[in-house]
Parts: sequence; structure tokens; C-alpha cells
Amino acid sequence: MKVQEAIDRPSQRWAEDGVVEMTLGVQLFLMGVLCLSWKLPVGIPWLTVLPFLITGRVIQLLKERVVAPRAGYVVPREEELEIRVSSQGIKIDKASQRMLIITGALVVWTLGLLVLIPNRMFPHLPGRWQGMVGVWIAVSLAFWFAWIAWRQKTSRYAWLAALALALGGWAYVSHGDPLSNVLLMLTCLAGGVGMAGAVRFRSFLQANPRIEE
Amino acid sequence: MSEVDRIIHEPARLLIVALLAGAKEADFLFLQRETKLTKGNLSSHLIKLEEAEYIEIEKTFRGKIPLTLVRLTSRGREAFQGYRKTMNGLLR
Repeated sequence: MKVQEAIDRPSQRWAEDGVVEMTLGVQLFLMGVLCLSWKLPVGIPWLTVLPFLITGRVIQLLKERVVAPRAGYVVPREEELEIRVSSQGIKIDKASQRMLIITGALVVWTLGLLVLIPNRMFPHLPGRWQGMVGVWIAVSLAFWFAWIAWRQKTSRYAWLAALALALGGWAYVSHGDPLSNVLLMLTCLAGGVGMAGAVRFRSFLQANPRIEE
Repeated sequence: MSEVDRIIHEPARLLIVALLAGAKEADFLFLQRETKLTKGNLSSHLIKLEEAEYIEIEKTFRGKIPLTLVRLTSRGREAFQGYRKTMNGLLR
């Protein structure tokens, strides 16, 4: 194993058991189903955040109790921001700048969706833009999935990218309510992510039987 | 010419330190699987790294199962970065 491969290995191991995809996918799928049936309470932000906190705990428990006894326990190191404050101003190194931009974009994108969807704000957009919202979300997600597929060299994310594009196309040509179309599209994608994670998790458990001391 | 860090220079220890450089913490089983070393061999390398204060070892329990957690110290991280720099310089 090369040195750089060894440094990258903990992050790869964190992703290769499929636990994160499975739990997040299932959670988002259930939230989508609740949203579609209008059972999700609107206007209470903590109720939107709470499932993510619960999912975080579920991921940790699965990693500790199911994955660790089979393949060991590892937590990848988080990127550290390198910000230096001097008399000439604040200096941020290039890797940290990139990280800040990506994080900021993801936060704005997610918050945007969390505000737009439960508050039914899409219908206020001008007519021809309503159909484009689904396409815009689908293309962003497809781009993100394709990037993960390329980074992790895994075909299942390429399939998810293709699914996102197909659903985006469907949302554009469909004559239904644009908000419901977007919700249905996101729910289907969340289900796809959850399913991909579950398949991954199952094959990981089969390949790594529990080691008895 | 800069001196090569002999503690990290040994291939098995270099692999252990590189694995820990990408991790916040890892347990003994993860390191054993990735390095493919025997328990005894891995233990002796970990002891050497701990003596040099490059890693810290925490023995704990998760439920009733014993768990040995290993982390790279800031000194170990600096030593690893220094080692990479030295080796890059020597091979250039």
C-alpha cells in the first residue's frame, strides 16, 4: 500500500460499509413520504433537524456495534481549517478556501430546500420557472452523484446520477403540481440512495463475518 | 542532508502512522486488518511508536468488549510530515 493510499484509507473505509447512505437515504425517504402526504408539521424548524440528529446516533451505533466487531473501528480525520490572522489581514489556505466554498454552497442549497418545500414557496415563482426548479435540483444532484462516482470509483453512484437526470426530465415534462413533482423526485432519489446503501451494507456483512475472540 | 526519522522509516511503522494520519482514531482490529501484521508484531510496533510519543493508546470497553483505540499525537503528526518532506527532498 502506498503512503497516500494509506492516508486516504480511513475515509474509504468509513464509506465502504454503506451505513451512512442506508440510514440517510431511509430517513430522507420517510421525510419525503411524510411531506407528500402533508403529515410533516410545517414551521417548526427543530422538527426538520431532529431526524438528522437521530440518524447521526443510529449511524454511530451501527458503526460501533455491527461494523467494528467485523472490520475494526475507524473515524476519519476531519479537514482542519488553516486560518492565520496577522497584521496584514486574514489568510486562508487554498484547501480551506475550497472547503469553505463547498460547505457554504451545500448549506445554502439544503437550507433553501428546507425553506422552500415545507412553506410551499414554489408556486410564487413565475410560471415557466416552476417547471425548471425540478430540473435544476435534478442536475445539481446528478452532478454531485457523478462526482462521488468518479471519486470513489463506484458505479452505483453513476446509476443514481442517471436516475436523478431521468427524474428531472420527468419533472419537467409532467403537467402536475411542480412542488409535488420535486418532492416525489427527491423521495425516489432518497429511496435509491437508501437502497444502494442497504445492498452495500449487506454485501459488507457477508464479506466480513464477525470475529469471535 | 536531513536525518531520516528511523522510527517512522521502518515500513510497517510507516504504514501504521500513514493510516493514523488519515484517521481521528482507529482500533487495533482496523490496524491489524489494514497492515496484515500479526497481533504480536503490531503490538510491538505500537509500543515503539508510543514510547516515541508519536501515538497514544487508550484501552477502553464498548459494552463488555475490550477496545484498544489508537491516535496519532501532534508530535507524531509533525514527525510524519517532516519524514515525508525529508524523503521527498532526498529523492528529488
